[in-house]
Amino acid sequence: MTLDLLPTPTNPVPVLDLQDLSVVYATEEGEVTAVQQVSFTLEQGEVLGLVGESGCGKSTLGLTLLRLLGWPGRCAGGRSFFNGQDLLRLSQADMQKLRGDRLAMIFQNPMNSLNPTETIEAQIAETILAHRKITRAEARTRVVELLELVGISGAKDRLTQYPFELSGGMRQRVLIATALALHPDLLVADEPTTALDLTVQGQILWLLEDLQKQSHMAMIYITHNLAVAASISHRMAVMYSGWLVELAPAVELFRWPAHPYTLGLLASIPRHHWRHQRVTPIPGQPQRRLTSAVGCPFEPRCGRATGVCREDVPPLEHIAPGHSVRCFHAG
Amino acid sequence: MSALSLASDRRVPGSRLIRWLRKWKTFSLGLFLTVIFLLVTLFADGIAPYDPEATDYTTRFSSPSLTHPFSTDEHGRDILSRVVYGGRVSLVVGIGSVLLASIIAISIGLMIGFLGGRLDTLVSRLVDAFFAIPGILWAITIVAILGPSTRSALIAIAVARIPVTIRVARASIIAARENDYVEASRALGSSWWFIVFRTILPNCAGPLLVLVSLGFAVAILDEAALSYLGLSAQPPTPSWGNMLQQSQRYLHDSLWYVIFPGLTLFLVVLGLNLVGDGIRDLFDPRRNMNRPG
Repeated sequence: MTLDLLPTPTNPVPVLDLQDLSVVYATEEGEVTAVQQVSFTLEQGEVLGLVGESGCGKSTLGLTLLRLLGWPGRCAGGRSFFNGQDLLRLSQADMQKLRGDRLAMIFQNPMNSLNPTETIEAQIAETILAHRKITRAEARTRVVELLELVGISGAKDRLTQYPFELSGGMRQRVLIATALALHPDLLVADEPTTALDLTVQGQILWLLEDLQKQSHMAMIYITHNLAVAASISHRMAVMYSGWLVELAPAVELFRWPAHPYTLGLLASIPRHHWRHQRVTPIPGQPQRRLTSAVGCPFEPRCGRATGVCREDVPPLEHIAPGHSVRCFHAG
Repeated sequence: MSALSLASDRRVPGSRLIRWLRKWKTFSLGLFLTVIFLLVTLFADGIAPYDPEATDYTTRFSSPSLTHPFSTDEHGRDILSRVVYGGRVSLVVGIGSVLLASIIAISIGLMIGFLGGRLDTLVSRLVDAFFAIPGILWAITIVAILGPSTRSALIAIAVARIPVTIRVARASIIAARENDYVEASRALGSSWWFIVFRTILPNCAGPLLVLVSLGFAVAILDEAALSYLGLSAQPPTPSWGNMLQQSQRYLHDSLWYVIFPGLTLFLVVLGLNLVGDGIRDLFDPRRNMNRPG
């Protein structure tokens, strides 16, 4: 058995087609917006970098895609077409069949994302055996291949090891191997490198990029690190307070950022040659936004805000090919 | 640890275990007492010198001697044999009630802890209500309904133990459920069966194992209390509780009669408690395993 991680013929339907997806969280003050009318499509083999600060709804969006969001979160509307079928209308049983097979997710904290009481082999094999009718011996062969694929040396000896015997980077590799076990069409990577050392971060990032190119899968890379997102993504989506505020090809977002929030984010990246300059922070704090709130979510912190910003949420407008922005005063 | 001592480990098999046991003195003492109790009880037929129910009125209330090391009771029965066979009742009720309670309570705790919601609230409040009534009172009520026998005592003690086990099981399952790997496992399409029995349950085994191991001592004491009240094994079948109860009437005739069953009960409960404490320490993450306490 060999790994057939070859690009498959192009699919006419986008892998993912989000239409006005909204998620709310129930709180004591009322329902708080976590994801607000987010729409985008993702083609086969495409990487979308989803960036924004903590609490902007990027992880919630990832969890909602896999229908893993539990109480107090609730999907309040919209559609999420995955290979043409609406994930939000699938039963939990059908959803479970998709998860780990066509649709996989890796998480932020590799130190705690592996079950400490199961061997590496058992954990990877479980994902394979949950979806395919193959024998344990066949699954083992596959697990060894996968471990080699993600660059774990001495793969055969690792099978019987437990997670505590592996370093953080190794564990993230194991998680990646598990997520890629059945060649998913879409991988949601929720800050997979945040908890790791800087050098290991680089290795994991290259590994993901490499595997993504080989397998031609689509990937949503969630991070708050703009540089990391830019290095791996084809397109980038900036989220603020649950809204998608700017969507653009990665290079274009850096060269011609249009939304004031994106500008603020780029201005607050520290640069090594700025010896005597301070980074420019965005004034204010992100605020919780009740579903009943009106106006542009960024208005309280925005230097360009005018009267119209307090009354309406700006529409997501195309300003260049593949580049759309949600601001009345873009440019 | 020097290289020399590591080398000696390889030469003498089991020497590491012995060194470990010497370090953990209280645990070893508990283990020793427990193992003796288990061996004596399991091989009671070979160990007991006499039939525990055979009377011999020529030797009533004899002092400890070579023929009757633990003396004899009011019917001239050999107390050593009765203590040995009485251990059977304790062992059966102890293990049986703890297992019965654990199986029922852990299943319920797993279900309500995993599913949560209204069922969880309802069962948890019921458990709280059960806590308002002392366990022994529950046990007495149940024996009163079922009629006094060893079997009733086993069921009664199990029922009395269910609420506390549900509470501990539920709490540790809720704690284990919140781990990232549970969500990661779901994200990778694991079946609920795998998530419950191989992801959540093994990771809350620590507190449950401690509860179960400490439960044996409590169950054996409860059994002694019930049989002291005449609600467990019925005479002439010996049990430590009913021996203690009968011996009370003959305190002036023979002090040995009360001492031997009481001392045995004390040592067995002590042993089980020390083993339970040792297991608790093993699972305590704040505890330095190289430094015994």
